[in-house]
Amino acid sequence: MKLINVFPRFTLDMNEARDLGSIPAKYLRSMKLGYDEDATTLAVNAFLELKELYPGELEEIVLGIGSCEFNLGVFLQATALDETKVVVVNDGELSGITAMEKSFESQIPFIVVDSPSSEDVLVDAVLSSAAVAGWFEEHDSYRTGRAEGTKYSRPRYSSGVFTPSEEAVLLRKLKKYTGEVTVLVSYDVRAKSRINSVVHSVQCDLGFTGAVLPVLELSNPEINSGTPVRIVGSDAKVTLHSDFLGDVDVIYQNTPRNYPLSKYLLRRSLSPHDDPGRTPQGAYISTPVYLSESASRYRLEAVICPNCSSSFFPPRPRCKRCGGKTRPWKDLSRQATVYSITNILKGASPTEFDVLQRLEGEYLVAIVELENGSRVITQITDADIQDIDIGDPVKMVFRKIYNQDNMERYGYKFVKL
Amino acid sequence: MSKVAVLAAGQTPFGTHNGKTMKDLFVEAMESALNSVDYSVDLTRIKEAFIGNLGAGGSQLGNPAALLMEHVGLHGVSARRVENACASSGFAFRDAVAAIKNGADLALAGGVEIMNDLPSPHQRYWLGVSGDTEWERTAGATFAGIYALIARRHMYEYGTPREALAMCAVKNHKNAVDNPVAQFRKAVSMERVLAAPTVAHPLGLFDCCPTSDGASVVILASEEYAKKVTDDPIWVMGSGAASDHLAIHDRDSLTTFSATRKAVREALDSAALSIEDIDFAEVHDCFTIAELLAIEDLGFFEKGKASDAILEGETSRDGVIPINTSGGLKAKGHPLGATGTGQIVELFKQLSGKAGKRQLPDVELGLAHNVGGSGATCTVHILGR
Repeated sequence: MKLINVFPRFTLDMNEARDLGSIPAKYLRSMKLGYDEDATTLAVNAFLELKELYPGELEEIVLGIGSCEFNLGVFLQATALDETKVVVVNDGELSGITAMEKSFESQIPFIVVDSPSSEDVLVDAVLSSAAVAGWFEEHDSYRTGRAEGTKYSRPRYSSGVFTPSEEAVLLRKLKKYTGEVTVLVSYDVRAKSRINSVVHSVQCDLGFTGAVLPVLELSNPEINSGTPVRIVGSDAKVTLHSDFLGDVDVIYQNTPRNYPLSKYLLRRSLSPHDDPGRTPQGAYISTPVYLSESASRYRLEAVICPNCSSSFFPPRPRCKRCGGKTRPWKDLSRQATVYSITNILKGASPTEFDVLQRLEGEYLVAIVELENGSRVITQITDADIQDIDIGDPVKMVFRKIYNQDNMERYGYKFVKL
Repeated sequence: MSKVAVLAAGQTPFGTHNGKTMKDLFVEAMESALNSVDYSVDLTRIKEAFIGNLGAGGSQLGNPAALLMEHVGLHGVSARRVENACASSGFAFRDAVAAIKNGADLALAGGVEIMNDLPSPHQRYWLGVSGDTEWERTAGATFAGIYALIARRHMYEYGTPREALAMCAVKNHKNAVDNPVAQFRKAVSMERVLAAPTVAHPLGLFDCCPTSDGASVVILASEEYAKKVTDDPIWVMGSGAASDHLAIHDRDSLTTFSATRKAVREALDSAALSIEDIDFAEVHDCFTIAELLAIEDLGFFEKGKASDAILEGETSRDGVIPINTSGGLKAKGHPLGATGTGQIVELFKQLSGKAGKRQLPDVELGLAHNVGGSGATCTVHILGR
């Protein structure tokens, strides 16, 4: 039984397995949210990983959905949960906690997703760290205290802001268990918030008219020299006050690319695939058609010719070799090999992908060869053109593809192994 | 079996014709065709008309053929639009050949396309609809991307150098300097081609043909009719055509167009010729890699060996096998529906000694190779004296 904790934008950056009594914990590093990711894609990918870890064994999972947009229909179609029962927990910003509790009770794996909003994510992240560090197990009062309306009660969490002393208490307890202080930073352009604590202060003056990247100031006198401070995730610019004496280990600092402000605002206010009605959507595929093709758009379900045993992906009604009538066969392995690769720059994109090309500069298109020899055209994501070569092994992941009829269309892409 | 002749062939300049309609361009092309020869052609004998066209300029998707007929003095003629993406007028020509063989005295094959009188997103609408919409387009690829994937694979399989592709652009631009109807009539250097911005790696700006407006018209005749007006007709020696999987990932190989191989096989067989008999060719170089693939698939060079030949100048105007003396799609231009019969125009000019400064000495057999999209359709025609 493993824990896969999926939080966008930041990482629970503890690489060793931790033994939470009967539940061994393993942490997957999650990436900064890419333009083609959202809560739905993260959940699907988490499930695909779980499925590979426990082939045929997953009877039940808990799916905790935070206060975010989540397409449960797409999740179910993309995961094709034939043998696995999924218990959906939707408890607002407490979804993570509730899902984890349920999981601990029933000893089944959980997936938790949420989307970045400054306070909520901070709350969940901090508490999740606490949970996986075993803090919950030893502090029942924490849970009951919540129900009884003590200072850790639900309304408090709803506002998402800790008083400095509460936060200090929590973080002190964390430090006791992990031996280090984990500071998680995230922000959301829609939120206007200022989070302060004795340990850290994050200045986020955000809004559509003006935005600054958050500045993380470490000024806690409680962190003594020698205490490792690990800052994970997100786009914080770290400045250290002169009176800070601790050791800082910055895992993740700054956006990888120098985003001009206008581009950042455009990216956050528009879906990358959004181009509201201005360009003709040539070569139209209707929504019912797209949704009916989930077996070959969300998954790699191949067909087979019963006559000559040739298999094909994408599916085709008639066998290429002998013309026989094919039937659905199985999902092909997610592993594939790059057969050819290119990048799409200005002028080379179909209109539906124009905005994406403009925002990202380029995206990668490849033909990959699948386990049965079939090839399919697809995108390679999370990579640059110079990082990929013919023959490289790649793996299928679930991502957003484009937007049509005001609906996000999902599908598979591949990432470098 | 009676032969089919090409009686007249003409075209508008290819390029940007802002403010002109499809009708205007087609009328111009018709005039150019009728003025391409000394004898007069009795238009009343035209029995069938085949007009290649993809997007009708975004304005007349339905019934464009009838509209064009009435404006070139062919009101009432049996006419239809033929569409196979960039191979539209190649197939129009093939259908016109069949119409002659079916008993018509005269048939018209032509094409017209308006691309530059449109805003850029509309343009890319046309360019994005001829690949496999369901798979290739939803993966974010239009032709630049698809041909780039082909180029990358060809380089991987055969060690094709980037310079071989660039040389096709250099050569074709040089050829087009002497072509009054070409879109670009300035030579470009190898350095400039190699330094051009990338469109889809490894293809850069100069590896891609332009978008163009233009029209072309060819008039075909039966042997009997042709011999009435001229002693020295240009004959259609052979015709071949084929199709292939639309999505390139469904093909066994990315680096060969099986439709080209099948079409050239049929064309040569029907003419009782071999590829070595061909003196010059107009091939479908929508991207530089496409020219390289074409001269291999047609059989001028072995698979993987075209790069050396190109770099050594064997396909230049004074080379062993001149390819795209007109400037090709790259420099002459590529108004999608008009390109196929535009190639026939070049063949006609060369074979009748009317190619001006581009004239090849003593040519007897020319080949036109027209491809739809990324190889889903193809026609090959052989003309000769």
